Amino acid sequence: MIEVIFCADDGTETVITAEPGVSLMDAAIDNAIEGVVGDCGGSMTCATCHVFVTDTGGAALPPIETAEDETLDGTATPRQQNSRLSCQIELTDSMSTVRVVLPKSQW
Amino acid sequence: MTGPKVVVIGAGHAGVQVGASLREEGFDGDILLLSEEAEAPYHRPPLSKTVLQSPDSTPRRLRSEAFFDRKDIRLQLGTRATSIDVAARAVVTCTGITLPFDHLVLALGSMNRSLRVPGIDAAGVYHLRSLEDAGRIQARLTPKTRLVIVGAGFIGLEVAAALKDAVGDVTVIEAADRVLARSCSELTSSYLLERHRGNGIEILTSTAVEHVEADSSGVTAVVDTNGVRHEATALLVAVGAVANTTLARASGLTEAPPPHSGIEVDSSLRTSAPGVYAIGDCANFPFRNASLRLESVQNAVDQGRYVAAHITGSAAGAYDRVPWFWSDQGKERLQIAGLSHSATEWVVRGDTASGGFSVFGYAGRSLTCVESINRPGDHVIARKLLELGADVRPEQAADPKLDLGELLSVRTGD
Repeated sequence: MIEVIFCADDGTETVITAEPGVSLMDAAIDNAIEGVVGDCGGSMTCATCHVFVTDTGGAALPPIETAEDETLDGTATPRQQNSRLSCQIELTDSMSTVRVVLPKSQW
Repeated sequence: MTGPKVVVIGAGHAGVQVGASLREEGFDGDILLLSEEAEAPYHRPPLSKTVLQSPDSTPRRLRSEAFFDRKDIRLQLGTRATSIDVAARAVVTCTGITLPFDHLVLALGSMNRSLRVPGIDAAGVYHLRSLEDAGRIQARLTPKTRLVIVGAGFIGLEVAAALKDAVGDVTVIEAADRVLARSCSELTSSYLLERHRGNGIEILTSTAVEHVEADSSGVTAVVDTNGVRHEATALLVAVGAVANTTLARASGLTEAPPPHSGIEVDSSLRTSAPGVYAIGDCANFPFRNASLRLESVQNAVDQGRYVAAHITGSAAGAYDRVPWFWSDQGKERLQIAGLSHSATEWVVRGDTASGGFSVFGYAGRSLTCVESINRPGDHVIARKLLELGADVRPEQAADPKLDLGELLSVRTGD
């Protein structure tokens, strides 16, 4: 099980646990986390599952491919160095804790 | 609960968004979502792609059960609304229950346009709208299936590309002289036609179905208007969608005329009945000097958000979101920002022979839409450029050395 911490724009933190094999976005939606929207259901076109990754407990994230990188230019809140589309991050066994900060707005 | 009551008919992308956004806006009255489907609300786009590829593939749910519980949004599945009493502000359901409302949102979606030719009622002939439909289609498919698809619109091409390796062969029959004739530029049509044909999908244009043949096992062949007989053991009719207006018509709501049709709404998405909105696929709304009806996830979701804001008094002005759309046809990703219906000139950005390019559509000097094939970068910037009304000159669109992002800070004078 992986511990995932969602830090909302107002500072509130919500901690959930997730099984490996699901995407970070799916874990958020399944747990009714506000601030991760995912209108396109993981098709990587809506840019509304945007997160800032602040901690992965040292585990490596899957590398950003070109399509994700380009789609990140479409986020409502401007992207930062640690921006990812959470639909592209698969939670794996090697991650014990993942902490992300949510943008002020997704659309 | 004695607060205001919102009833939403339809729990697809639009209906669910209304409920979610109402709570986000701080609405604390009663929210009831009615769905005529038995399944919990789900993402619809996968139905024409991954869901058809495997009996184990189900689309993601739009929200978890926990979400509806925590947000106190009542979801009533398998319930069809049969009439709206506009004067009394109440909905009557198929079980005879009367549901009073202060605000009613019609998020009824669209229905499949039917193909009326002899033999069309044979077994093995399908439409695709719901998860149930997708399940029936998937159950009939085998590696030997000879699949004929009528209609080379988005659904027809997505299904063809998704199934070409899973079935015996795929033939697409299209009545217009090109694929995606109602939706895309000729450049994009040509590109996709060539790619799909190159991948082994037979596509016939300027061809319609004359009749369907069947035996006791169901459909066996389709005969086209050129007299050619195509063996078929499964037939998908994908000739477009019409607005689901049955309930609105029965209740006396004003409908928009063809070609777009649909439930007529004003710039705040209100129907002719007080307290009643219509959104998503079923709604015909005014947009930049035109009236139209859009069939897309973005339109459903953005209109859902708008109506929630309007109900809670925080909507600023008319509904004016720039439409955008995507269609995954096998490995080809088509993304569209804006609307192409008024474009008269098209400018290519990139090389159509390179496997990725964009086409910028202009109506006079104004950029109205951008179609992108395998160029998500162009697409997301195009959405922002159109939202801002930025000035994008054709020569700038065509210049691969110019970073489109630089144009985001340049606005039109008017």
